[in-house]
Amino acid sequence: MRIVGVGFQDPATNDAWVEDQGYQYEVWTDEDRMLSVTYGAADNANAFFPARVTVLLDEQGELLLEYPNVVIDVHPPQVLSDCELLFGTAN
Amino acid sequence: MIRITLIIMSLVLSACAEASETAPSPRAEGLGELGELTELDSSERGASEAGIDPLEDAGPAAEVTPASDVNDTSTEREEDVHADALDAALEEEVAVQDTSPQDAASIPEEDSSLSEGEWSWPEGLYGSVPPTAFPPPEFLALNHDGESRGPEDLMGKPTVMWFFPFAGTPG
Repeated sequence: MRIVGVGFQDPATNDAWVEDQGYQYEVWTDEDRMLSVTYGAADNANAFFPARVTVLLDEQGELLLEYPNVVIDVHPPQVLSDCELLFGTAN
Repeated sequence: MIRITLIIMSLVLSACAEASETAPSPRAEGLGELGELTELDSSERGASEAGIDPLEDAGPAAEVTPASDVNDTSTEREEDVHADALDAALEEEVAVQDTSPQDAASIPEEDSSLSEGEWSWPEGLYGSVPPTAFPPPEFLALNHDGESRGPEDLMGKPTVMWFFPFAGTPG
C-alpha cells in the first residue's frame, strides 16, 4: 500500500512538515495541478489550494474509490477499513 | 331621459344574456370530434334522465341540450381523456420496466455475463465508487525531496492519495 499526500506548496515546505510530523510516506507538490483537477480537489489549475479530498487508486493507478467529503476525525479509519475490504490486511 | 337610458341598457343586457345561453361553447367547438362525442353523451344522458333508451329512440329530450350541460359533460369527458392518457402512459412505463424472460434472453452474451458479475464491490465501503474508472493523468509532481514524480510512480500497488489545503493543517 502506498500513501501520498498532495498539496500546492513547495517541496521545502512539505519537507519541513514531513520531518515535523514524522510521516513515513511522500508528500508531493502538484506542480501542474493536474492531479488536483483530475481527482476533484480543485476546480481548475488556478485554484489557490486543493480541497480536502482523498482517492484510492488500484495497482494500475486507476481510480477505485473517492472521498469527496472528508471529515478529518473519522476519515483515516474509514479509508483503512476500505483498504482492508478491498485488498486485505496484508497490503 | 335617464329612465329611457336605463330601459335601453336593461334590454341590451337581457339580449346579451340570451345570446350567451344559446350560443355553443367555443371550447366545445374547438374540441371537434370530442365535442361531437360530448353532444352524443349529453343526448344519451338526457334520454336516460327522461327514461328513454337512446338506442331505440333519441326522442325530443335528446334533441335540445342546454349549453351549460354541454360544458359540464365536455369537462367530464376531457378529464376522462386525460385520465385514460395517464393510465396508458403508466402502463407503457411499467411494460418498459418489466423485463420478461424473453427480453432477458435477447440481451447479448457479453452483457449477461457482465450482469452476473464474477466480482462485486464489498458491502460497507465508506468511499464512493466513481461513475467511471480511469487511469492516472499525465502529471508533473515533486516529492518533498524535490524529486520528480509522474504516473509511473502510481503503479505496482494500491495508492491512497490525499489532498491537503496547506502543509501543517490537520489531516
